[in-house]
Amino acid sequence: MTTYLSKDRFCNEENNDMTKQNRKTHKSRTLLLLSALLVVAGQASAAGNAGGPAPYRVSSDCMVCHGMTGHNTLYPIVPRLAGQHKGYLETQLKAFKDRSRADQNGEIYMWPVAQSLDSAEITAMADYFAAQKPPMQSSGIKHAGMKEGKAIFNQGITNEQIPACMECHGSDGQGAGPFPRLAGQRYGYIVQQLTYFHNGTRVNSLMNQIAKNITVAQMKDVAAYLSSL
Amino acid sequence: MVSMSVGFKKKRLIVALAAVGGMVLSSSAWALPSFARQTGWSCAACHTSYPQLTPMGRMFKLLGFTTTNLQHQQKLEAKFGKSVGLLLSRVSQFSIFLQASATNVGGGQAAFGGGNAGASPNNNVQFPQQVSLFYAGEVTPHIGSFLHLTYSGGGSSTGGGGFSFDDSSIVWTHPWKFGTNNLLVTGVDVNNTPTAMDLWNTTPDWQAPFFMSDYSSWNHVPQPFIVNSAGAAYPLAGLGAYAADIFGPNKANWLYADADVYTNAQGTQLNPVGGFANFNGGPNGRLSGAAPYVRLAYQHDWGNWNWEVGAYGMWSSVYDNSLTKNGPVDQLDDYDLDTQLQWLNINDNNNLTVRAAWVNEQQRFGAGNSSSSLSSGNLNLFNLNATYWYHDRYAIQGGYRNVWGSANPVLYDQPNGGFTYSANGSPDTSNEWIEASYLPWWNTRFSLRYVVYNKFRGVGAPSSSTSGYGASAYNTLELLAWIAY
Repeated sequence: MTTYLSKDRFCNEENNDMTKQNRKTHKSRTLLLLSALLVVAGQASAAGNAGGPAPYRVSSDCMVCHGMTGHNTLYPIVPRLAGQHKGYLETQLKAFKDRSRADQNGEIYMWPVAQSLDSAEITAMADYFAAQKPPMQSSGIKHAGMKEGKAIFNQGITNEQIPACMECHGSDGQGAGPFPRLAGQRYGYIVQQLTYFHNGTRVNSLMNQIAKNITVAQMKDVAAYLSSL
Repeated sequence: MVSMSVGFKKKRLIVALAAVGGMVLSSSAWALPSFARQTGWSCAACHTSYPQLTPMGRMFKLLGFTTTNLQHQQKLEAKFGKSVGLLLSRVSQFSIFLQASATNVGGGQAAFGGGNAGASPNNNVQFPQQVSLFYAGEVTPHIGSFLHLTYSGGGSSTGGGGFSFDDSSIVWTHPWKFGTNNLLVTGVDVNNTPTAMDLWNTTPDWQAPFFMSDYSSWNHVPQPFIVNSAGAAYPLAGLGAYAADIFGPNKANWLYADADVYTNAQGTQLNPVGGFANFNGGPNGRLSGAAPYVRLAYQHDWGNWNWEVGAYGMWSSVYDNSLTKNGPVDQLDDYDLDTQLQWLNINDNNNLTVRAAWVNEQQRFGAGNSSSSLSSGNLNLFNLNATYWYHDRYAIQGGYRNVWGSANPVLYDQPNGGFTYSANGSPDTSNEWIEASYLPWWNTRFSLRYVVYNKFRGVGAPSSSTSGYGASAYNTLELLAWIAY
């Protein structure tokens, strides 16, 4: 492997204290080296870089499930993070770290990840994903119940004491601050989280109350609508 | 799988039983506890049950085992250009696999001729069958290793155990972001086993059934060269490069290409450590020149499903007599078509994986060879199987395997010390198998497998056999235990 020595092997953007310029230089040098090596020259320069370079932990850890930009996730139950609000991302990472968010998949997949993040890294992760362009209709998959879901989202269901989601999450599901963006989120993730809110495994007094009376069919309708946005 | 990962064991085995290509189906490697220590993720994140990978496991492997969550790396001050330090993992990357087996063969070990002098006539127990030592995980950012040493307890007629290198690799990877919906992961690696780097459990190093006793009948069935090479059974060294382009919304499409070139890991020494078999003729792993391997695969993901279809080729020029570094050279060209369909219910850990692979080998034997009755021939392996896990605790799996090809008395009978199965030296074999498994905990697995042979090396009814054993004499019952920590 010594033939392919690059400084990248020996430093970690997460921990190193190189200047931004240095980092850029050595990144492009690595790019060049590998491109030549694998005969993908020309493509490397096309590498998209929305929101600045990805912190190393994104490319080594987050990316496995959430994708490099947070747009394309591995499974339906893995949320999209692109364009999610910084405040929300920070709150959730901290909640995984202090284990106050303890739903099953959060515990299995996110506790180990968040445990090793310090607050500066949490901010850097949140900044990075918040800076990505939010997903819009990128799944291309339409689930049944969009129309009913839209009605629930915009108007709620008065006689079942389900308030309109848009009151907090915005008329287009865009969210704000602590209220997460839901537009374009994955169908499976929304159904999963509504289930967790409904049965109380994900503790959030507001959402636990709101989801108390929601049925599985209604969860799916809302998810169909939001994932189509 | 694992059974024959050990070169030296294989060597002895071949002395004893040896059918060219006939030995040893071994594929190795599993969910490593060291990976779990490094990431903090359960085995079930990356495996349905080891060694079957999930898409998350494929991504982890693509990234060269470098994903690490729990522990920060240790930063060592070092001088290397303007770099400030060398980062090394603080996590122990050591793991152990221990495997044990008990095996009953319908006609006893005598059904394989007299080669298994060291074995009990039947009901052979191996404890351990094999102990694998791993050092695997992140080396530095972007570089990971999977080093696998195996102690083999002995097995049929080998007379004793020993250590050898099993399937291993060191890989340098990098992800590249090409816009929103396109991710490219590239890797450069050194490895010692064709298909060791592969992501799907249809390829020889990782295929089902995943673990087999050394005393099972399947070890005596002729196999194509690349299938025999599983578990570093031949001392090969390979340099490879791969690229996976993952594109479309929700990582819907994976396009994977891998190219390697293999040579003899021990140069052309006469008898390298863990080296080639000293048996009567037959191309057995000493390459004459480089052997290229090329793999292409496509995976599509949707909802809880993913489906792979792929192909590979390997072109091996092998010395007819593996003890010499000159003389006739046999050409063994292996071509594969394979597919895998997987359904995952991640919340409840229920999953189903169906796999099929067909390997076709085109054989051309060099002029003056002493290992073949024919100047050319072919050998095929078809392996169809499925595994269902319920709550990752109970599994039922089963499958059908078929080997067919050119009858070749010298190639398939001569290495057995004259013991013949069918009169014409046919390799034709087919069986069905069913297996029940129980996982009392994530890292411990007990399995009971029964294999029923319709045909064994050209033998159907006892009357078609020169030895008097019919196909049913090769039915195998195995009790297997596997613990990883």
